Amino acid sequence: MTAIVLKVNGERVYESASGAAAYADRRRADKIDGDLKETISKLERRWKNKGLVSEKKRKSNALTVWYELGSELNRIGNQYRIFGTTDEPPFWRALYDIVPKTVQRKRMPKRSKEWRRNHFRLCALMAKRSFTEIKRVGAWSVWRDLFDNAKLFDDPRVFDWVAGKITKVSGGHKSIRPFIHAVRRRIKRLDTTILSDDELKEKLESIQL
Amino acid sequence: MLEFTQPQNRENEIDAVLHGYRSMIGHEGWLAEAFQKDGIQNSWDARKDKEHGKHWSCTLFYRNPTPELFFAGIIDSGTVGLTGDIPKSEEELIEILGRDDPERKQRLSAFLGSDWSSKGAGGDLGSRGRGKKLLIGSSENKTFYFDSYREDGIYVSGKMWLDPRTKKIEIRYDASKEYLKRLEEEFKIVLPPLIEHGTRILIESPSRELVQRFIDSSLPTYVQSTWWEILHKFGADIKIEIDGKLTKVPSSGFLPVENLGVSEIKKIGPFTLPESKNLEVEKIQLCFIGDKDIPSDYKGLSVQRGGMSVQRLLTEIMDSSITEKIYGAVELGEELEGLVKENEGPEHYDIYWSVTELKKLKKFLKEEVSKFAREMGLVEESTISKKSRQAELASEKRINNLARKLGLEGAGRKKKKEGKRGKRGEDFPVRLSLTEFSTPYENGRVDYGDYVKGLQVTPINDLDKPLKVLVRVSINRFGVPLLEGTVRYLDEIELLLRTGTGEVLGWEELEISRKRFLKGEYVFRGELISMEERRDVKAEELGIRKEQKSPEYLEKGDKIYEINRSFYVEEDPPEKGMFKIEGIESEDRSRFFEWDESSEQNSGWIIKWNAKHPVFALADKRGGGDLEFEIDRAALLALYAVAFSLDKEKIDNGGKPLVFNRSDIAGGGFESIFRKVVSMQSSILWERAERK
Repeated sequence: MTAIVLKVNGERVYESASGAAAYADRRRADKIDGDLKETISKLERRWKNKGLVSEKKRKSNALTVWYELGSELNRIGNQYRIFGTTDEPPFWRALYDIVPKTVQRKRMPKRSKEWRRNHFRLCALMAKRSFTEIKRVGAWSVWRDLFDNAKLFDDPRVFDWVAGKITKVSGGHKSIRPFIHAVRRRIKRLDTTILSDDELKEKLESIQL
Repeated sequence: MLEFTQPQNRENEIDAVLHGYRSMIGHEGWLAEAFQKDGIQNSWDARKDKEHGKHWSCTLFYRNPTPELFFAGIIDSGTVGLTGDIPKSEEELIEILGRDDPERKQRLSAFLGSDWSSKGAGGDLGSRGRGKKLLIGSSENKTFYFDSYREDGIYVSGKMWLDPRTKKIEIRYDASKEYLKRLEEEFKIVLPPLIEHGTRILIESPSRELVQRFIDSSLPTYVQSTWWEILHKFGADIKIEIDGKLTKVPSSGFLPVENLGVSEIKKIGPFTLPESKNLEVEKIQLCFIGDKDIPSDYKGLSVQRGGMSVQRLLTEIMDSSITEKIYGAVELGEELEGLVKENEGPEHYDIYWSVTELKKLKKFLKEEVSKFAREMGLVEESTISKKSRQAELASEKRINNLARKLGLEGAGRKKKKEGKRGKRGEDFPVRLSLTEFSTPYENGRVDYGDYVKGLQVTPINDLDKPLKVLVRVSINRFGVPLLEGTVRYLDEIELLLRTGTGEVLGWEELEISRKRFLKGEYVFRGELISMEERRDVKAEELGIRKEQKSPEYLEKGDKIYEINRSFYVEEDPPEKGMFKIEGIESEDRSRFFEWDESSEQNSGWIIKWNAKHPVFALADKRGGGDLEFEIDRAALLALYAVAFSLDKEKIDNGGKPLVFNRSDIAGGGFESIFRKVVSMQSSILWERAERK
């Protein structure tokens, strides 16, 4: 059993699957918390220096910010073996307590409470790919649309296909959004995991915009 | 006829005594540990000021005046000394020891005797005669010297040793300072006579094991962990002297628990043991150590008697998960101290717990430690019995129904739209049936050791054509994809589902073990997925709503049917009404039942009933729904109290009250409101009691 530090009603608590956090779990949770804070504040300093984030203005390059943050979250998550464990949902939630206002201005949106759709988790998923590839897929505005359709991330083959296709969709952001929605609708009721690569590809290729 | 006394080999006895201490203490410093405990105990017993130990002082010393000569010993003052008659022969000594000596006046004889000292030893700490054997055993040449300046002004001095030939313990002593002179002559050392009343023991050539602990400074820590109570309460003057250099043993840094300087401590008491009025526990103190380590000398719960730590209860009362995290001490009332003393091992390091009253004490201590561990979040909460919990749930349901009926607002569910019925199983011609699913509690709760039954789905095909499908069953913790360290439940089968029912898939029963399941919500899910493209089957026919621009027929991968059931391990499902009822356990007599607004936002009120309160405890014992009835009564009063405050708020905000009238709230004093509450609950209770 393990735990993650969370803030509940402004109070620091140890969130764990069992509801109990033993001493060792608390120590580990504190370590993760400390590591996250240090990493994120280092990142923030760097972003400030580069002019990527500031107290008043919007992020000048959101894609870079979220990508770099996602990479660091992957590192920490792997280091403490958080992914795929009961610690994962509170881990993503906890980031809303840690990430500074310059980076995340608003409070945690409702959908981030569902761990699969948590913004930071999606950043981390994005950061598993190379930055060149990410940039090729599109600017932050495109990624935001992708994030809005988290179902696309469930089967990596689906996402790979989408990422590859998006670069070829002409007409920019305006036509990308209908495309993303069409893919989501197409796979909404399907269990894609039972399909072979060819079967999946065939279904995806048949999508009509 | 020949007649003589059976020879006794005292050397073997000494070895046996030493062995007893060694195995009881179990660490390398055992001899020094035993030496300080026994020595200080005898000295503390003999203190003149029994109440506060004023002017009492005790010094453990080690001296090494010449390379060949070294001594260890103990010297005290503020004690009565070796009092009593001066026996002049073995026969006289036997005669004195045979007398009843409840006031313990014959200290000298008890000291000189061997196994005699138990008779009439009164309430003193030591009284087993082992101490002398320990002293002789601590000496390489099995010899120690003693002198005592008694409170009656008499001075005694002497020597006790094991005769290597006869294996007898020999005594030579005098009611004078005679022996001091002999010592001075023999060893060429100056041994000034005692000026204050007290006693001195001098072990000749102490064993290396003992000397080592003087030198490496472990002795003070042994003293602190054993005598922390008198060090703290009376500022007891205990010193360690090495070759003239004196050091006072300071108060322990670990006991009393506040000395550690952490905030996670608890001090409670006095208590009376359940159903035993005369058995009192004075004080229990506990500490959650935080990020520090508990030194081995302090691990466990120290059972105190007469200011001394007798035994440290560790795994006997603590789960192994908390032995490294919680420590503390318990001080007992007079009766229990007496019982502990009677049932103490001869080395004063263990207690025979099988005596009924002590068993009770141990159980009580275990409960208190567990409670503290729960408060510190170290172990999971699980206090109220299952039977009580069921009564609670039934009562909760009733009180929430009433609250709804009265129109009190809660964190209730959204109302379903009238007339719009959700689809039922029969609306789907191809489906899964889950009929046998059950949990021990109606609300889906299941506790460790219990079973969830019927986690099985049966595929059904009402169409007149077979379909190739995949049936999948899984159990997942809610919101978590896979659990590290626990078994993941997943099973699937591909089959040609002909008209009628297909193969059953899943688990007949599932044992909820602590090892495999964490506390929380789990979802059992059954899925039916198409494994073929069927252009001849319209998706709509199967109740599947396809998205726009998707094929209208049944395609491979289509989810034909999904069924979910939740069960809740060691917790109740999220509350659906405005009231939640939960049991607490408190010995505080002012706590009967109480109600509080829930700390979580918009989640209503919590009514707490004290399971320890005799009204509830006895009702529970009587059975027959009595507990449920009592909880109902408490909950009703709480409901009206809450309704009153909500109504008042409503009126203040210009709204309309729901339960009370404006006049009740505006003008009514306690008497009139109480009258109304009694009358309102009367008919409800009437009905309840009749049903019961």
